[in-house]
Amino acid sequence: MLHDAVEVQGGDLKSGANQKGPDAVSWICTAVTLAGYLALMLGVAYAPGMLSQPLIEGSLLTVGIAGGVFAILLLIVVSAVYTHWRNAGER
Amino acid sequence: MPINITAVVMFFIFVAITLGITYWASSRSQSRSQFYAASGGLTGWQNGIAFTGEFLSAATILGITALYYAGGFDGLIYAIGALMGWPVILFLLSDKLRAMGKFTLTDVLSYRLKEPSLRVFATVATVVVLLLYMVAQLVGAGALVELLFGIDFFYAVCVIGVLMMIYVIFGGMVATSWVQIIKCCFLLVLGCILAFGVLAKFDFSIGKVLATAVEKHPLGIKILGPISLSSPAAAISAFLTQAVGLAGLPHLIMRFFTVPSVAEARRSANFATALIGLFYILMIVIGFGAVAILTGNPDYVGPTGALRNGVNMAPLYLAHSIGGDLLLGICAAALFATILAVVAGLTLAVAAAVSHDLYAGVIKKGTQTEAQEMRVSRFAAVTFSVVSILLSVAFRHENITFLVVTALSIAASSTFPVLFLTVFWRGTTAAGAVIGGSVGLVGALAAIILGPTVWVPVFGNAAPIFPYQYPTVVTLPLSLVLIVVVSLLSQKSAAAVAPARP
Repeated sequence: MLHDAVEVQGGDLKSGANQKGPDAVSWICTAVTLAGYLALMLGVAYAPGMLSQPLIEGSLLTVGIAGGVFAILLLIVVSAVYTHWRNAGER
Repeated sequence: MPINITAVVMFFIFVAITLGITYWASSRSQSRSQFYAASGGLTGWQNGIAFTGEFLSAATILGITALYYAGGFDGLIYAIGALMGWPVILFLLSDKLRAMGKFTLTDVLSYRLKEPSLRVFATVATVVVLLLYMVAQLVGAGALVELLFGIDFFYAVCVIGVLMMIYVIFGGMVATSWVQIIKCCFLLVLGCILAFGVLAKFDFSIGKVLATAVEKHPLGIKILGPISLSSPAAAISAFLTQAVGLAGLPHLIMRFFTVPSVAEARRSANFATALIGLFYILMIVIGFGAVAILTGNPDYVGPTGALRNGVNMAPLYLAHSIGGDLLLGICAAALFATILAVVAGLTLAVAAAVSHDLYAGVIKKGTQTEAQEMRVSRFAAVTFSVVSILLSVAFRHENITFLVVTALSIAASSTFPVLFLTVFWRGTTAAGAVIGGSVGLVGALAAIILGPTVWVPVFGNAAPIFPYQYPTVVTLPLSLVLIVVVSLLSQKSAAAVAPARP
């Protein structure tokens, strides 16, 4: 690796770590991914019957399963976008 | 069950490869930075796979398949909950962890707060959380090995213990990471084979898998929606425990320091998120496939209708139904490799906590030589291994999920709130962190003992004193509030001593 691998000596300040902590983008990404999951959990808690409904009439794919897959994909996409954007911004 | 030759051969191949790697890594594990953090020399991709390996423990895989088998959709909910810790870590904590830390969780905590009491608290919390996690893995592993290899539980656990000690003591973080990477690839390939095998049996139609599962499962169509998590508070508490507990697990925090830069750290966390997410989508097929194929199948189900040798056998039986003894053997070896890799990671994290945080940070206050510190860490690794082997023998009949839940609840109620506040709130004082974190730790433990998992079945009481299986919904806010209140009360005295800004 061409990276300076000695950076482990106490804090990573030089390699661009954001000392100020999470900014608006970090919080928005967190909120978006957790909102998807929280919606699902609120459904589990308050409207379990709704989650057991088929997504399309006659199909066995329920709202719950589709929502679960969606929550996972949402997390993957948001984290990929966040990582690329933030890493590109530091170069 | 007859001894499976494939499993034994695959297992020995895995052990031979990993011991070879440990030998190669031993010359690269002499210094502290090499031993604790592989000198920050892993790439984002390598570390991402290792992260995934650390996260996909055997208890997770067996537990999730078992949940699918018992209740269908509930398995998915549990899996997603476990995944939701990643946004907290990646979006909110990764930059700060890299900026404040060096090798361990305690390094991050004591970046601003230098008091020895905080280091002692962090070491104790680390050891308690990881010991519970470790015993859960070993109990599961011992039962599995006993069954598949036909050796006694005690010897099975000893074999695992000796191997993990060798990886950690001689190979440090370099060997532990590579063991984790190999095992994770092994496991991901196996997951793809199982999902493909399930689909192949049902004409590559998810609809047919679900239809057969619904037809065979005693709960019928209900398994496509939520069943067990009925009360809102129970659901939210389960969510908090998993999402937040993950961010407080010390061995995962250590992985942020094995890459050269913060960009690589983000890349590895992102990569792990994608791999774990995709694996969990495969698990939907595998889980409902297990319901469709195994339910009522006399080859795998006993006369009572329950899986022979316990519900943890679900993935192994599924492998057998798809690829016979050969795939069963491969699956068993992959699970065994998984256990070995995860326990090695846990042992390394404890060794680092004892030698780096406690011995070097508190007892010697930095006056130790590097060789002394390395000696202590190896001694700690051996002691931790022996203690956890003995405990796993004592707890061998305990429910594994309960042990994992306890470990995660304690992490979510003690290490996480302390980490969160020390990172985000400059007003946090050592006194606040120690008192709030300790109350969270003890409170979570007490709530679990008084709750439905222990108070009723173990002590034979009629009703639990604490209503929820997961205590986090109460203990996490309690810990956060205590840290803030005690910090505010002790701030004036601390301000006189500590500099205003780091």
